[in-house]
Amino acid sequence: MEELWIKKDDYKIDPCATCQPLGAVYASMGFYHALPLVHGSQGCVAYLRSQIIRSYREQVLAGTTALSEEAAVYGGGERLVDSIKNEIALYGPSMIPIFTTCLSETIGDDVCGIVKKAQDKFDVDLIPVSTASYKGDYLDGYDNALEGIMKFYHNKHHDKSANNEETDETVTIIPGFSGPGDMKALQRLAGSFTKCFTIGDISKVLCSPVYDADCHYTDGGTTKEEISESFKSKATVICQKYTLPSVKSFYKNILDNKVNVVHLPVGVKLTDHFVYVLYKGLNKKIPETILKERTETAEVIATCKHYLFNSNAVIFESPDVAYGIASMCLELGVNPVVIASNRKSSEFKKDLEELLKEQNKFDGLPVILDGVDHFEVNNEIRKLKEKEIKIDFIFGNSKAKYMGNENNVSLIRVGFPITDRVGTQRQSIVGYKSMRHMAEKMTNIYIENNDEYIEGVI
Amino acid sequence: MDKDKVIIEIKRSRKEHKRKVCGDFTPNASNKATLPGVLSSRGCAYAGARGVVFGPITDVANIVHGPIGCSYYSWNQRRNLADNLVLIKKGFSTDLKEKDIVFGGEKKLYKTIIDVYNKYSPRAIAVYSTCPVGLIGDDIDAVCKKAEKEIGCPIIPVHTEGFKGVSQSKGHKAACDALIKYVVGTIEPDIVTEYDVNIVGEYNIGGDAWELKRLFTELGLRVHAIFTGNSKYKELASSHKVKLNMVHCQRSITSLAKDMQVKFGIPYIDIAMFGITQTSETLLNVAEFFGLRSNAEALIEKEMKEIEDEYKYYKNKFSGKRVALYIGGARSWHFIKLYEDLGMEVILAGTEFGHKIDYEKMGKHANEGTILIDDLNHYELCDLLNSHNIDLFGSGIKEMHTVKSKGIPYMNLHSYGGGGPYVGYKGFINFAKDVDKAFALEDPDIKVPIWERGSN
Repeated sequence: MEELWIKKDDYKIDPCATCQPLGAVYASMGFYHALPLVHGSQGCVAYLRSQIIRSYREQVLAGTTALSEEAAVYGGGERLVDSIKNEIALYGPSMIPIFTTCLSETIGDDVCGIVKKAQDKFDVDLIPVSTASYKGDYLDGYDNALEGIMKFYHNKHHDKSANNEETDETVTIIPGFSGPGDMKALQRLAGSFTKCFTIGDISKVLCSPVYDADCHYTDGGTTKEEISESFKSKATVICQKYTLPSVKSFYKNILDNKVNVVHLPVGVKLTDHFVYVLYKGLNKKIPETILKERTETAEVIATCKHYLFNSNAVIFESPDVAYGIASMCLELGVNPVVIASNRKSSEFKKDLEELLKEQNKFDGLPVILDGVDHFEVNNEIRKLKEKEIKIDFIFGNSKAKYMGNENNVSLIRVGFPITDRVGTQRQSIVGYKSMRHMAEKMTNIYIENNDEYIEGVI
Repeated sequence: MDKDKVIIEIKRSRKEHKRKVCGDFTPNASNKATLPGVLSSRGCAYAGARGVVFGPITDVANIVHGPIGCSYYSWNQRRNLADNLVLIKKGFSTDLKEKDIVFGGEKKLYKTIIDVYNKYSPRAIAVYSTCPVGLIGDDIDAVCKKAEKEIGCPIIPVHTEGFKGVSQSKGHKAACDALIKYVVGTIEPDIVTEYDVNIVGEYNIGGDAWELKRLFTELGLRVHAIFTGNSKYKELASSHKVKLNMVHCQRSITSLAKDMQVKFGIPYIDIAMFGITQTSETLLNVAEFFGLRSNAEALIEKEMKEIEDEYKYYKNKFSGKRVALYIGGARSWHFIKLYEDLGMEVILAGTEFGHKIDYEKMGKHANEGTILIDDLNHYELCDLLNSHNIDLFGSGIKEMHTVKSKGIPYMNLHSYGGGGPYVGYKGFINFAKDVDKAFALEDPDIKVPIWERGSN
């Protein structure tokens, strides 16, 4: 029986990560009136649009070159140029980030060359980025697209030798792949110090009741002016540690020590760290409102910990979300018994070892996994059940729903995609306020699941 | 670049895809390549085969040979209800990486097939080829054959490279080809009666297949296999001895019915079970074929009696409302009559991947003046919403929020928005209730605050 739980090759059962174009389109949606174009079969865009729409219940605009057999044989260059022309005529976008797929990469279309040649004909910024579906995952797609866009505008407006010294009293945050709720929470924290720029700001794009008269674009997104201004910020904070390697090295290169990389600020300690970085980088007092929120949250944690102490959680999401949730669980006295991420990252594993070194380690727990699918995480849950270890929570996205149902454990939905609950576009795990909300939510779930046993307590 | 000129060009090339129904009707241009760069709702061949046709089979494991995305998007996605969801809600992917694209992925596919079989013991396995697989030349037919020999489980290669054809439609065809080549007729049925039928092209969205089965069983028939809603491999494989194939979704699967007619001599008829008019017509037609007319008449009377009061109530309530429909294939014209049964008027209808024959049928079903539009894109959708007086829009998720942002009531006709079944008489009332819900969601008292209303 045991053998049936070992996979004989590196294939996937119930995958938790998709390919690059989704992340790339998601990144470009965070720019004002950007209209991404995916060079490949039309299915890629149809699928990824549906996926994002289901999560955030908002219209998603992304074009496709819709390649067919003919293009697969003779190349898709002509259709690419026609697509650009049509997109510009119909939607008047401010920029067109152009992404490749497994199809266009395997055909071998020279997308950069074609776009470079076409740029002279069009007065809209064309930004080609290679996002082959067989390399990396959606988080790499996000990283590559964001780096591509930022690099494009940096090269366009800034002479490399120009005065990097000049700074404004502003802060720039780079939230990485996260929902509009999380972005808003980050903006609120950073914005309470000083004027804040967000790179790839989908906070309004994916959470906006009003569309313009032609219902073409939703509100919001980082504008070109903001991009330009943002390079002069006094402090720049990259808010995800594991999933933005290209963005990180790009910023290190141009801004050097003005760039800080922090963990996604989930829970009190990681939020503290984020706030501390802002405080140091901006050399400004921490605003009263934030301090007050923190005090309130600390109080709530004490209340909740009483119930949650020594309960167990399984965590499965992207490395940044998983690390954040693990750190949050520890603050609440919840033991993370399995911590799994959907992509390979040795740094993630090392950091978790460090985070958990104070923890009681018995039965070889917690188990730390990277680059796994639902089958492998389910296997760990099975082992826990065999050892009669009770699991109280599973943290994961909607795709983990069956894992929760099968094992009769409450799934707390975090990360992407969350397709089977409402309010995803406002939900957040970032900052003190979200921590407070999450602690209360977890406690209430715990009480509901154990009501008979703990009735009468407090 | 002269934007206006390009827009005129686009409109000119789209002109053939849009026209009004009038008198001597000629159909639209359809089943043509999507314009590059417009925001079409169409998917790829893979989506048509894996998602639509093969997806609902309950005991087949679906292994996707390609990069991870194709499988990621198609597991835990479509609302195919079933008695047993274990394999339906599973996604297997060979997760091809760059080295596999360079050196070929055949070995990996072989290992995956064997391993999946050992773990889940499916009754059969379907293997799909995706865009890069078609280009690098992996011979999935040979791999499937070899693996089948090794494990003795039927393995069905389905050729669904995403770039094939202009829409999902090509994928439906690929799935039908695989079904006739590898599945239908491979097992002898346990029972054969004079009243055996197959329902072909019913995927059990919202439980439609269950309701259809109930109706036809009450009519006195034995439904042998349903292609493919809540179906089992064995039923499909032994479906070649029935007396009649009844084709419901006539876009996706007519080619299978035709092939079965040629190969096994089974006649087929088109059925439409949406709305009371079409359902009664269909029941009488089918009954005629089997000489069961009195059964049909009794059944219709019984079913109608049960819904009589509600039917009157809703018809009265919705009478005269104007509806726009933009759905996948056959449902667009099936649903015209469904709305008309509720006293509503369909002013616009279109399909994502309809063919010429679908538009001909649509033209016959629709009233004079109805606009037919093929492969509606986002830009045109916005245009239509601004220029037409539409009371209700029925379509898929990609149009949903664009429509809702205009405050126009919307129904999801792909997944039934969580409701259903919609077929037959009881389904008709379910549908009417969902129409009621769609209107109720746009509550004027909540949308407009008291201070913005008139003096009353």
